[in-house]
Amino acid sequence: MHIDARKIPDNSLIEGDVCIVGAGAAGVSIALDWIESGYKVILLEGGGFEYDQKLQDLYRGKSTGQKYYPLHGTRLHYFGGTTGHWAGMCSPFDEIDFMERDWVPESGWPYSRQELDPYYAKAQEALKLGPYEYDLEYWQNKEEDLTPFPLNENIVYPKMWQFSKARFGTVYKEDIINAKPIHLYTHANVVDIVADENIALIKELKIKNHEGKAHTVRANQFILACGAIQNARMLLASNSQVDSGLGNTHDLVGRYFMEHLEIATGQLWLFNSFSDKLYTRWGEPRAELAITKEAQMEHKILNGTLSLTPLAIAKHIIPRMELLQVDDYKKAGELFFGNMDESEEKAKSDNTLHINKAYEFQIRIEQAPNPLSRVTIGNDRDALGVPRIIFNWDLTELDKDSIRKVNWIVGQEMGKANFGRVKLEKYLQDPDDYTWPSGTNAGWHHMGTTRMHNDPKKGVVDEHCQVHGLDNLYVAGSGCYPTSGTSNPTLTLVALSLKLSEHLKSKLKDKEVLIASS
Amino acid sequence: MKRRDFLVGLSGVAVISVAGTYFYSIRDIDYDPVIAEPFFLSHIWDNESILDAGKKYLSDASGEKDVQELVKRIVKNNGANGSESIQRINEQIADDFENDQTVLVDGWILSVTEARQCGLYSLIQKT
Repeated sequence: MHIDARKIPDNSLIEGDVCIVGAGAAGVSIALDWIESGYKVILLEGGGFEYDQKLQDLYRGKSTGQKYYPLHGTRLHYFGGTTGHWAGMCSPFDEIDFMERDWVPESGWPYSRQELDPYYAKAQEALKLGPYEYDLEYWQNKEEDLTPFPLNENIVYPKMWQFSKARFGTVYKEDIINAKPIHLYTHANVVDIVADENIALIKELKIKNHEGKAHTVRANQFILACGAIQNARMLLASNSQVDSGLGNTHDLVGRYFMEHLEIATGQLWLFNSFSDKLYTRWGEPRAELAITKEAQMEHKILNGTLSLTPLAIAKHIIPRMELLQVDDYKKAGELFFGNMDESEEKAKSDNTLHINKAYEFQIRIEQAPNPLSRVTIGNDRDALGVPRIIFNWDLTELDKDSIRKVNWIVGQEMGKANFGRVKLEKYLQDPDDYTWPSGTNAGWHHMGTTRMHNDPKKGVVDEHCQVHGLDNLYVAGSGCYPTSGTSNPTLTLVALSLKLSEHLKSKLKDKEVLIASS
Repeated sequence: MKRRDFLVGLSGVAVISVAGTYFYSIRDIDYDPVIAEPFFLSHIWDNESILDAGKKYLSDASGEKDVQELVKRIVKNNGANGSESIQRINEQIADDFENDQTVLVDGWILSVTEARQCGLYSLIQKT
């Protein structure tokens, strides 16, 4: 069922069993999981069904740290959320991503990868992916000529990705609207979260829209699913009862923001031509060069992978951090793909010797958890009166050392196999250089800010993604990641959301049993 | 055995040339000039790139400024003559990577042996 919150009487009271705030990948995945549950689910979406600059403006903020994209452009504020412009790259987090690593501060999830596996399998379906298979052998049995480089797989191995084409705004619109237990409210922006007088439970949410309507939402359970930055903003901005905001007793909300660093790091020149399909194709299962758990442990580095782009093309590509400093993000796609087309065209006339055997490495690497990398709120307010964010993206020496070492390890393995040679980008050549180049891209992957830890002094949410101290408030999505892995975040955030969803169903059932037996 | 051109047989591979003698004799060391030819790098670099890398390596490597020293370090105890030496040097290059005997030359991660080959090549070109 769909209700436009602009068209119902002002000061309406909306009630349900469960309220999900945000209809992106996390929120929609959870809502779909509740269709047969017998509970009434309120799904709140701040935007409508289309891109609207006025709504995107609500996401504007100020950046103070490492150069970042305009904040209103990296997230989409309408039904389907950021899946409206994502690339669809999916791969599960690795076993090591869940482990406590003595060289990675604040690392370690409350559970292992194994515990998340059943939810990964379900997330594959939600994202319209293929089978939950990420071993190269599986794909080699289905397709010829997926040949990895002849490197020592105990050190460098081909990590597989699948591609999702699911834009939730189109794929699931009808399913959600036609589902009777799901009450989707569009143009329903949460502006305040109100707790009970003991600050132990959430009582209601206040919502507003640009038409000046304000409503109240009451439910038994609440799930924030607006993305890592907005979830933190909502908690911090809900400060009428507690100065520091809700769930922020230990000053952790907004901290430990993490991105994936995606930067050109070097060149690979192969001695002989090699079928590169496995590494260079797009839209079908493909691999990146990954460092094994054992090698990461030996070198004490973060988890990162190297993707390959033919150098003849890559050398004309403008770094996204420079290209996408635009105000109107509808133009971002045009700019990005325009630059790609132009680069491919220029590459055709490149006669550099052996250029056909040369590739650019682009790393995607986790960012070390860092409390100074954070989201806070400032004095400026958006059109609905919510404080805007101040965003401080902050990188560490471990981030840069790891990038250098990942490339060095791959360079050494290429040498051992006498298969090719690697050239490092200038900014990686001096081991004492901790500066970052202007082309330091990020993946539009927002993680951290409401990190998961069972100790309230170390995390905002517990292993079930429940906010510590608030019995009926949950956070869904990548904001809960304690560490950020090398894989793109969406598959894992959907898996995590489905895990949360299952927990919540079981919690509600337990409560019913308790009530029935008392 | 004339070693004027190297790697001629490999299609698409850069051809560089060293002086047309059978063997070089510098002071008390005889060596086959082929050892100044970085076999693998010649698959991806032209003459000029090898020269450049050689010069850069020499400018950073202390105590490796003359031909004699470089030849000694490249051939070690394996002897400097004959085609077998090429095979041995190529194996040595892989061993260098295996044993962290690598250097960064203008951003390139190279085996120290092949970096020395480049250095030797650049010195020979001067003589």
